[in-house]
Amino acid sequence: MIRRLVRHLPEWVQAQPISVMCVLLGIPSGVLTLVGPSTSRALDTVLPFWARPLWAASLLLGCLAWGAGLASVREVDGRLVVRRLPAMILGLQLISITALVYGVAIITVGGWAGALAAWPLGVVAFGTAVEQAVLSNRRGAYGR
Amino acid sequence: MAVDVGTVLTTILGGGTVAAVIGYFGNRRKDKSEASKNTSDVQVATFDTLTQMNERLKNQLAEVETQLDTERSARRALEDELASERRARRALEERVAALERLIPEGGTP
Repeated sequence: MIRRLVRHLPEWVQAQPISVMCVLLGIPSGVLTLVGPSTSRALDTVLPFWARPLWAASLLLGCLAWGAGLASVREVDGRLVVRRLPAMILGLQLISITALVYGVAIITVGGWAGALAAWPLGVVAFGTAVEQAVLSNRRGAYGR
Repeated sequence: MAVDVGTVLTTILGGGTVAAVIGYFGNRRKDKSEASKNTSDVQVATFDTLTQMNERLKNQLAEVETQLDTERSARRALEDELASERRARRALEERVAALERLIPEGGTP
């Protein structure tokens, strides 16, 4: 059943479903925090009032840029090629920063009790930082 | 403590965001200047290293040579078939000529 459904998905979604899932997770959080109905106690406590919209805007922009980069992925000669590499790198950098800030804010407010909630954010921050560094290095290797 | 962490986090957030956006525009500018240098927009293939390109070209050459060998053997088989058909035709023509010689003009053998 799921195998039949998957065939109808775009090629770029089939090639990188986990990354697309991360993008979809971040967009509602960014929009709701930016618009106002959703707030985070950790961010409210730790960041100044003007930094929370900045965090939300960075998260939203990061997700959109990462999504644009993912949507530009095509298979060329058996390899996945990112056509909008600058957008992908921008998105990964912004997601890494926002995840790091959120994770540290949770630990600052909740102490060790918040470590479990902060752990996935730390993993996302590290993973996206590594991926953007790999893509940047590869870009450098092409001589661009 | 919380104020200090907040300041640090805000600095990381603001600085990182600005740096990422500046980096993005820098990368795009490089891409555009790179694209303007390329007169053709057709991407033939992508390679990470020259060694990889060399290996791929070698593989392609081997594939083309194999294809050429197959075509040559098919051509040889066709030529053999053609020669045998010609031999059969010549034999038939000789047989018809022999039969015609046996039949006298305007009569039955």
